[in-house]
Amino acid sequence: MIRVITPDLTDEATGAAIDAALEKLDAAAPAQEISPPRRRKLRELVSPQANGDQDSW
Amino acid sequence: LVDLPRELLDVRDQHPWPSVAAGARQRLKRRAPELSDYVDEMPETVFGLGSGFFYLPAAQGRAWGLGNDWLPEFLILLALGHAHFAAQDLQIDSGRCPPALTLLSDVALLEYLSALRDRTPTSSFTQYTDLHDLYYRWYVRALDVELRHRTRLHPYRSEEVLLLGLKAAPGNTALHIVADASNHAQAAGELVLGVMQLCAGLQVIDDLNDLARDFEDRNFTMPLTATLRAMRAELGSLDQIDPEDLSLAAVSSRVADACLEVAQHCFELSGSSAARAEAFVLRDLADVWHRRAAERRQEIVAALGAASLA
Repeated sequence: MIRVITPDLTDEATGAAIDAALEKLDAAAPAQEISPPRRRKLRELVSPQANGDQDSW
Repeated sequence: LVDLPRELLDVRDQHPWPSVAAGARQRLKRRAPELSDYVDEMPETVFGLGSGFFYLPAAQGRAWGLGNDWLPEFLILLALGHAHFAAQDLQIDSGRCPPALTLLSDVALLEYLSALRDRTPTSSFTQYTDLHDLYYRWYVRALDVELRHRTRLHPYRSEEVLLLGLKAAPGNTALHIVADASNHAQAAGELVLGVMQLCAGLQVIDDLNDLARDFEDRNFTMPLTATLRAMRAELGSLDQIDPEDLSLAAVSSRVADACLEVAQHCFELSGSSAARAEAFVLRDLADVWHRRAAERRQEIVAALGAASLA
């Protein structure tokens, strides 16, 4: 496949920092024992509402 | 939430979104009167969002000295381009673009390209349409990354995360128009770079917020892929997963925190590029998003600490 030339989107140091953050994902595993009220709170932290309405973007 | 930069809010207040969308509808109806009823029925979101991000090019142009009289037609240009890509993205993401919007999509693109030609300096007749072609290829490059991740659950590399910011590349032509009109053509390259880096970070945050919907569409974004891998899910057994469980898994596995950290790095890159371009509206917007991500990470850490005691 022919690849279009795209710009360098990162510098070396930041690219390494992003790679390090992505590597944490390989070891990730959900916590097993969380009470129902806490579950609700944690769910709310990742939701379409978590960053406000569309106008706040 | 940390407030958007004042310059963005000012432009938004002076050019309210409904009036921009109305201008875009008028242009579409003039080009294809047969579709007038459909144009009137389209929701405003087809033409863009009343968001600070949508007003970024205009606000940066004004900070670079463009007058208010220049902005209404420019915002309508953005709305026309948005209408085309809103339809295309809807089809790509969900495979369910309504028939009327599919018809309008090409009309919007034709009107948008005409508007680009109208703004092209007479000395270089195809300058902006050539740029549109280039940036469309950047967009395709980003979509190529996304589509390849739909066939197999595999981790994203940093290069791919940043390339996904190019999904917003069709908007780059408008940044050149702003830079040229305000005599900042030399800053256009860094401005474009900074906006693409900002969009990479925003893409990560948007995808983190849309875990359930992307799961239903089987659109394996970076946050969704990481969450599913943390849950030890496999492509063959996805039907056993309750979409409601994804957000809990993302937070409790610390996938959400790592995603926000990645987004913060993208915003740092964007801020640096913006500073080099002396594009201070963009720099301030990148800073706002960096602080918003930091706040959210603190909330997650605090909630996890409380959860561990539950």
